[in-house]
Amino acid sequence: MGRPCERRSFCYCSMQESGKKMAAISQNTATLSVERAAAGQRSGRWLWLALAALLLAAFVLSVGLGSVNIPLGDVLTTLTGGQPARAAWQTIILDFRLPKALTAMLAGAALAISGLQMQTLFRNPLADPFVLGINAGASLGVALVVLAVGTTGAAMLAGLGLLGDMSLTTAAVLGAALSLALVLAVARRVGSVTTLLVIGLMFGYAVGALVSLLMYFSIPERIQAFINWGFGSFGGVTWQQMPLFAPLLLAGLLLSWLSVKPLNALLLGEDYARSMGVNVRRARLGIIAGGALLAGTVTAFCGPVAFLGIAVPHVCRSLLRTSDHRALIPACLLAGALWALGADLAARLPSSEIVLPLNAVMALLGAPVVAWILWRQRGLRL
Amino acid sequence: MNAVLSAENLSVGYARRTVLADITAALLPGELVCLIGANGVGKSTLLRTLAGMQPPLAGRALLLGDEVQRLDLRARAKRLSLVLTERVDAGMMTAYALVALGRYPHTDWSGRLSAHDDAVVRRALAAVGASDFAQRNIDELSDGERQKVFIARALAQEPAVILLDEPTAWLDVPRRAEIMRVLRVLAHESGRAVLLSTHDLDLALRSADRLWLLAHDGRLHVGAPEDLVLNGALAAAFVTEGLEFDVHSGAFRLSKTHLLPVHLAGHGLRALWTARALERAGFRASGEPCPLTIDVLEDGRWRLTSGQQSARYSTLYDLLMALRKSLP
Repeated sequence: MGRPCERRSFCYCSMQESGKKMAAISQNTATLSVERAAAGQRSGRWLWLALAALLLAAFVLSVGLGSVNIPLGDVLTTLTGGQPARAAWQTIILDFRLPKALTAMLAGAALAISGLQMQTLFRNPLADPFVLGINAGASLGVALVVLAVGTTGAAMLAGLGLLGDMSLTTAAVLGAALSLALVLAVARRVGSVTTLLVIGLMFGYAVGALVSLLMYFSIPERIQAFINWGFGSFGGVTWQQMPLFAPLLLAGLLLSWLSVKPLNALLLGEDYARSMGVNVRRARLGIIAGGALLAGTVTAFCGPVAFLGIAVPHVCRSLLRTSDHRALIPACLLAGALWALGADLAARLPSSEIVLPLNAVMALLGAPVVAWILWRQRGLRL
Repeated sequence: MNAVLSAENLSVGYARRTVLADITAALLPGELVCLIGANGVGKSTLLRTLAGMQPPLAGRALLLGDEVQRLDLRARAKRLSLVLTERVDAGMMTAYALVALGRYPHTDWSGRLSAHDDAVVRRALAAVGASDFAQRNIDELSDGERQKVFIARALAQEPAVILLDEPTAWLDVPRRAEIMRVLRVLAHESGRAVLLSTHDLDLALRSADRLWLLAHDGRLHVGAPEDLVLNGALAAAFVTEGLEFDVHSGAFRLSKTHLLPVHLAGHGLRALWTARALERAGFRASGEPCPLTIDVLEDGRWRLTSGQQSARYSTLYDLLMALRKSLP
């Protein structure tokens, strides 16, 4: 209960004093924090090296293992441009295993980065590359081709030359591209990300309903073909398709790298981002375009590969202990590629003829790992 | 001095509802201004409009001479920064990284910090007394530490004006005073203008260089806190039935006409706090003879006399319990 003037003079004294104290403390902590940051960087560097080494090992394994046993020496010779002991091995490695491994790496990186972008954009740890319904569009395209071919409507379309010899992939690409265009058109007009998220969900439900209607009216063999597509596979991309698949993904990766700064600002929410000079609408459009391009391309060529896109960003965050996208994007690139290669390897059940469904393997092996990591970290963060 | 931020006949609100009309005021460099007013009178809407977060309905908001609404976002960010009232779950980042985000309008496309940016961030952290926990994760910080970091972030943007929407809302009383002191020093020493809205009237009266007081009728009174006390504007803006403004202490309290008089005999600190306790319990300490009398005794106890009955109490708590029982 001092008088105001007493309090004021008291305040002033303590102000000066604490000012001096503050300066002294900040000098101490400046050196301290630099050391700690350096230590953090050192452990970070090990992590990067480990990731890169693991990825390289997984790549060699992926190319080296399969239903035909090829000695590691011959695998390496072939990869470096030499001639293996048998000519058939060269074909197996270069025409089958190599494109598959490359596809897995590109797809894994793409999905992980796309998932990271969506989680940050929607400020939601449960967001994945497909929140906006990209995979629903692709699956509708595939469903139309697989399920409707032979029914009267499709016969009519085929008669018009629209379906002709349209392949599964082309249908999926078209479906994904159309839903991407729709998402972008909606995103330009919708103000809040939450609204956009709900619209994306509704779009997914509506398209899913169309697909199940198609399934209801089609014959079992065709449904089986559609289900097979839904399992996901990295084996479908041939060297003929690679010139389309790879550049699309590289463009998407470039787009996501260009949005690294607004992504970091968006961690504080749209109001803060705007106050720091982010053109939120433009940034959002760029992020969605990049993320959807990545997810759409992968879905079109590999099927709806689930789990990886939601899990890998969380794993990277808790390994690096940061939300900084300048670190997370490269980390997701490596870890996503590694995860996809690993899942593909596991799905092949080495030295057997059986290939398990990719999505099942991905989630079955991955879910416990992710749960364990998040358990240790005690909570999900963005 | 030229105003850094000014409102010219500004009307703010939403398409169907005008919240405030015809506001004119100016913010000068180096001053700490508190925007106060009763709940729902439009403080946040005014702040948001001044910050360019929503368009004005009429009039202009000028930031260093340019209309806030028309400024390029990056140019605006270099002149004005914000501390918002909502708690942001900002993910996994250190206090340093969060403050470094404030360099956004100054850095290149990738957001890489130059040596100069790093120095600015460190200075900002030191200015709010947050250097100690610069390398800690923000979700490990207390509310007060966290608020300091968000202020440092606004400072790292190196703006001419910092706007804060209820920066002390989540804090306990000592922390509120500390944040206000930080802001005051910051305004005076850096020459930046600081405008903050607050519900903490007492702190605003003690800390602000000027008050922007939004009255019930939507008029904005501007002046030194003491001027607004003396001309009655402050009392008029907040007084409601049963509450009155005490011009001597500069605080609001329950209106005395509603209190039951009790004769209080005694002096010194104990008498003072006895009077306060009485007031809290719905009584008024009076010098006049009353049916109830309280003596502050030298032995550290209190005596309550009601007619013929008299009892002694060793704590104020017991005294108040007895008083309440004696009420009709």
